[in-house]
Amino acid sequence: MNAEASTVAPSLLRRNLNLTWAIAGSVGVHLALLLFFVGLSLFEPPKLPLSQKPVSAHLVRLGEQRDKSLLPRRQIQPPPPPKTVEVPGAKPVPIKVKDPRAVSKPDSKVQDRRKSLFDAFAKVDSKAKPEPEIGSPDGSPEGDSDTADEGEQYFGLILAKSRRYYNVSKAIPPNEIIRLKAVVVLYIDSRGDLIKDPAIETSSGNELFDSDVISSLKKAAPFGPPPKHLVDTLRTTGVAIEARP
Amino acid sequence: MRILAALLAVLGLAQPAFAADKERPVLSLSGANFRPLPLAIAPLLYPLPSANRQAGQEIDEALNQDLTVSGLFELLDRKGFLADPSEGVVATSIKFDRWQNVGAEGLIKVVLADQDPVTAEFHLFNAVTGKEELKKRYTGPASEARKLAHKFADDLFTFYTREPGAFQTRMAFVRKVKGTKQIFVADWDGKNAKPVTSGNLNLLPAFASDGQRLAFTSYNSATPGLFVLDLRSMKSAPLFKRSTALATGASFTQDGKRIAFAMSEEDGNSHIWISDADGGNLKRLTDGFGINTSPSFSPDGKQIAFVSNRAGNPQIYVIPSTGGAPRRITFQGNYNQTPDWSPRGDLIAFTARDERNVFDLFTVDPATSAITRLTQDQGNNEEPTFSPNGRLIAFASTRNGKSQLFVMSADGNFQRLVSGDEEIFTPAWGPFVP
Repeated sequence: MNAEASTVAPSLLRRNLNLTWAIAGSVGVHLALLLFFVGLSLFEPPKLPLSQKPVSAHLVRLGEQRDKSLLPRRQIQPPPPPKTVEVPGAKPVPIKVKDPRAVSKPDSKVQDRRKSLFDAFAKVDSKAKPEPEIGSPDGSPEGDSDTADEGEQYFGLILAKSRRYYNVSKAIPPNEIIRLKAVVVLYIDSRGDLIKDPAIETSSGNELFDSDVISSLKKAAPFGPPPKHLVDTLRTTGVAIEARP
Repeated sequence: MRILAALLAVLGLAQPAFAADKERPVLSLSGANFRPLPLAIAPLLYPLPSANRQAGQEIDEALNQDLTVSGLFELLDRKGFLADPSEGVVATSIKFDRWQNVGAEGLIKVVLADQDPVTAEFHLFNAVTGKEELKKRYTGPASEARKLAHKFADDLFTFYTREPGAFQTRMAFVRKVKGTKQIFVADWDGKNAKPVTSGNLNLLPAFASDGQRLAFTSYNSATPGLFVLDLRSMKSAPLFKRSTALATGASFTQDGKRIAFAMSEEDGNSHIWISDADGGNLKRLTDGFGINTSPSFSPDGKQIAFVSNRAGNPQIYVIPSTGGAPRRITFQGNYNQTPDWSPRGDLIAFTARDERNVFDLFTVDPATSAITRLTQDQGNNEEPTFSPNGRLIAFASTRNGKSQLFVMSADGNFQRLVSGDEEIFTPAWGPFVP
């Protein structure tokens, strides 16, 4: 056996060994890839059930509970308060009001105590350092965030105004509404006016929804002057609005 | 390694392109308010003096009513229009900004020509984009001018909702005529009503899905019971020629091949039966004591909703159309009756008497038994019937004193009187016109 083995050239043996390693490596890589894709499919995000009805939640009103065996009633607005009817000839009843001048003199001891208290407060105030306002030098006096930069504030303003006018037609089929998404680009000048009519960049596929979005954004303009560092971007590149119902 | 390097190089090259895209800020807008689409119907145009203005007025009135009742459109008041009334119907000649300024998002223009037959051309424009979205031309006899408007209303409804409109359909109902009660068939809005029965007492009409057959309960002959009327030949025949039991309150399956009804028996009980449309293959579905009545097929024909007092008072039940155990689906109220299953299958409308002893309309979800009130504090509201697309419900209401035909959306909104001064009872909405 040893004699036979010695007849095989060592280089050939090495080649066979290399081939085995290559095959084993290849099988290993393929197995790893297979496992990777199987794992990936396991972690696939759950599909959105499009046929599922949207859930509407309501807060329960404070009040007496209705007997469950009775039919439901629609909640209606309470009737307006009855108008006061003026009877001709009836005299209004005079209301007695104290004379503001007839105020009794304050007690001198109470006055002294109050004065000393205010003096103490004044001393504390003069010692305390003024609290610096955290925010941005260009921030809005109505702003309540200390980290938002000016650009984001302006975009927030655009969205807030757009939402106010964001009306979508009921005529759009309910089964389509869940899937609709339109992208509209707005070009805004330094005064906050639209430079040109909003244009659909990506249609939702429903013309009525597209035109509802355009109409809402047109009504929402002007948005007010943008901050200086955004003027160029808003005029040349514009801002994209990704609208969903 | 080389391939990997090439891939990285490609990604590296692609990176600036992504970066360029990201320069444009993207804002996400959602939370829309859903509201009816504001539509403007421009005053009708009569380019020729020979045009039939009476027909034009009828078209205008019918189109206004159809679109308003749908609940999907808000028709703008013409008094506020800023555009020139003689403005043309070509998109380039229309000043859309004037229509937008009055809040219109859609613009309808109608041109009428000829005396009889009349020709009406309808144009629908998107007032925001200025694009003509729909153009239709119809011709018909002047006496049926309203039908041209109904046709366009259906086309417009389908254009927006991708569902068939129900404005060309018909309505059957009972009307008092000189001390008798007769079945009338009319347009969906109660117009053009014509009697289809004679005799003393004819009640409870129900259309077959072909729209050509109408079942009703008649007390005229020696053996009162169910009759089926052929609306083309206007000939009626009893469903069962030799039956001694009183059959009443029919409902056809959507394919028109089967019919369900209630039949009272000698022991005083009434049960739900099912048969072929010609009366063959008769089968009783309910048993036991009590009164079972007012069957209504589900859209797939597999189930039947009906009223039964087996629990002590009238409640709505559902039973498989092949037979089986009935399932009670209403548990609120103590007098629930006249169920009508929506063609969409998701709701059953019914009449219920509430604790104030007033009849009102409700819907119940047959799957969850969740009840929704549709009418309240406006007289007695009874006998709901769904439009064939399930969007609307017609019913009889006494809110104005006498029983009149009203229509509302399936959620109870946009309630409108559609019939004239005539008193009507038990409306039954017909199927789509083929």
